[in-house]
Amino acid sequence: MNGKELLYKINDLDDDLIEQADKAKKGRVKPFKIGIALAAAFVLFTMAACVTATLSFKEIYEAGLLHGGEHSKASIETLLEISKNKTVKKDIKETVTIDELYDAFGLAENATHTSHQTYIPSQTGRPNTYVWYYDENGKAVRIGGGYPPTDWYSDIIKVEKNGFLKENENGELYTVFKTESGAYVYCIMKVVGGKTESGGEEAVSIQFDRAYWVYGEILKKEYFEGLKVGETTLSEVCERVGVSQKTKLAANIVSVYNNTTVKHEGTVYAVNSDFIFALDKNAIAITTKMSFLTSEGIAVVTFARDAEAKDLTVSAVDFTEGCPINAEDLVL
Amino acid sequence: MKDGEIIDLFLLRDESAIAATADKYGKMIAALSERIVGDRQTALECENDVYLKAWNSIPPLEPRENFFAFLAKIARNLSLDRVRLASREKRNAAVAELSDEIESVLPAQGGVEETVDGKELSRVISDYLRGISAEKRNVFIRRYWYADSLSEIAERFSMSEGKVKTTLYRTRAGLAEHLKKEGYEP
Repeated sequence: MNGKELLYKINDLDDDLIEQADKAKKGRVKPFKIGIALAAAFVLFTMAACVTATLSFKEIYEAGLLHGGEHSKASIETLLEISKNKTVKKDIKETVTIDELYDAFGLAENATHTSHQTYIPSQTGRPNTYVWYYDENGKAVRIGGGYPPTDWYSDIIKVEKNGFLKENENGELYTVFKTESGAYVYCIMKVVGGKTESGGEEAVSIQFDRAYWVYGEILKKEYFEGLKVGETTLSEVCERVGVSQKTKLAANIVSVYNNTTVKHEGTVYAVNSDFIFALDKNAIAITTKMSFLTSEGIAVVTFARDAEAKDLTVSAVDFTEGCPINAEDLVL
Repeated sequence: MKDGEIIDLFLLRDESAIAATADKYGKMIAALSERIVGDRQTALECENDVYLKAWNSIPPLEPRENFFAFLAKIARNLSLDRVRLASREKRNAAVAELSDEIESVLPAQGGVEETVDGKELSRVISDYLRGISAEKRNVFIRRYWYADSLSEIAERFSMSEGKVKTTLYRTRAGLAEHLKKEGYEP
C-alpha cells in the first residue's frame, strides 16, 4: 500500500472524530482542552479547600510571598519592570509559541529554567549566548551576562534543580513558585520575542501573564481512605471530595489517558477508565496534568507532555525539604 | 433544519430532503471536494453525486447521529475516485502531496497488505487518534481527511505553519508506531 491508497482507506474514520474536526477551531476547542480545564481545576480544587484566590504576580511579589535571595529578587524586579512597560510589547513583532522558541533557539523540548528567573538565554549561534529583556524604550538589554555554550548548557542543567518552565496543554508556558508561606503559585508565562532596534539581534523574554494561587491543603487524606483500586468509581471519589461536578470536570481532562499505563513506585493507581489518582503512604492526591499539594505538603506532580506519551509517569515530590521543585524527581 | 428532520424527509422520499441537505451542508461538501479534486466544477459535480448517493442510501441507512460525517465520507470517496480517474492522465498535485506525507506512517513499501480492509485500518487509526490530544487529532484529520492545506489549518487553529508541520510530523510518527504495534508490519 502506498500513501495514496492509505488516503483512500482511512475514509472510514469514526464519524464523531470527523465531525469534531469539522467543528474544531481554536476558540471552540480550547475550552474543553486541558489548559482551560487545568486553570478551572486549580481554582476548583482550591475552592474545595476553601482557599482560593487569583493574584497577579505583582501582588504576590509585593505581599512578600516569594522566596529567594537577592539574585532571585533582582530577577523578579526585572520581570516586574518588563511587565510594567506594557508599551514595549508594541515593539515586539509577535508572541512566539514555545515550539517556535525551541526551534529558534535549539532548546530541547524538556528544557528547563529556574522558576524564579524571568528570562531564558537566547542562543544566537554566536560564540556567546546572552540573556535579554526589553527595556522601556523597546531595546533589548543584556542581563545575566554571556555564557559560552557549554557553560550555558551547564547552567541549564544546574537550574533544573530549582525549577522548571514547561508548556501546558494550552500551549502556554508555566512554572510553579513556592512562597515563603509554603503555598505554591502556578504562573502562566508569556514568551515574547523580536529584534533589537540597533543590532537586529534576536532576543526573547518571558513575561508573566497570570498566576494562580494554590495553597497547600487541597485534598484530605480521609477523602480516599478505604477506596479500592479498580473498584472505586469516579463518582464515589467526587462525592467524598464534595465537589462532584467540578471534580468531574477536572477528571475529564485525564480521560484521554484511559489506556495509559501509570508508573509509580507502587503507590499510583488507575482507579477506573476515567480517572487516575495516586495513593501515597503519607498523602493522597488526585492526579491531573498539573502539580499540586496534599495536606501533608507532598506534591504530586504528573507530567506527560501529551497523550502520545507511552507512560504517564507520576512522581510524588516532597516539598518539605525546602527545595521549590526537585526537577530530578520529575520523570518526564 | 435539524439533521433528524432531514433524515425524515429522506425516509418519506420527499425530494425537499435534497434541498435541505444542500442548504445546510452543500458548501461544506463542495469545499471538501474541491480541496481534493482541485477544481470547482468537478467539486460541484461531486456534490450533486453526494445527494444522489445519499438519496439511494437513505433508507435503508438512517445516519441521524452523524449526518454530516456520512455525507462527507461520500463526498471524500467520490472526490478521490475522481482524482483516481484523472490521475490516469495526470497526477493531482494536492493528493500527491498528501500521499507522500502520509506514506511515512507505513512500515515499508508493500509492508501493509494490499488487501488490508479499509474499515479495519480506519478503526485502528481512529483508536490511535482518540489517544492523542484533540488539537493534534483535529490537525491530523483536517490535513489527511479533509485535505486542508497547511495554511488553512494554521489559520483555523491559530498556529504557525511551522507548528502545523511539527504537529503533523509527530502525529505521523506516533501513528507509524501504533500501526506497527497493531501488526501492520512488513
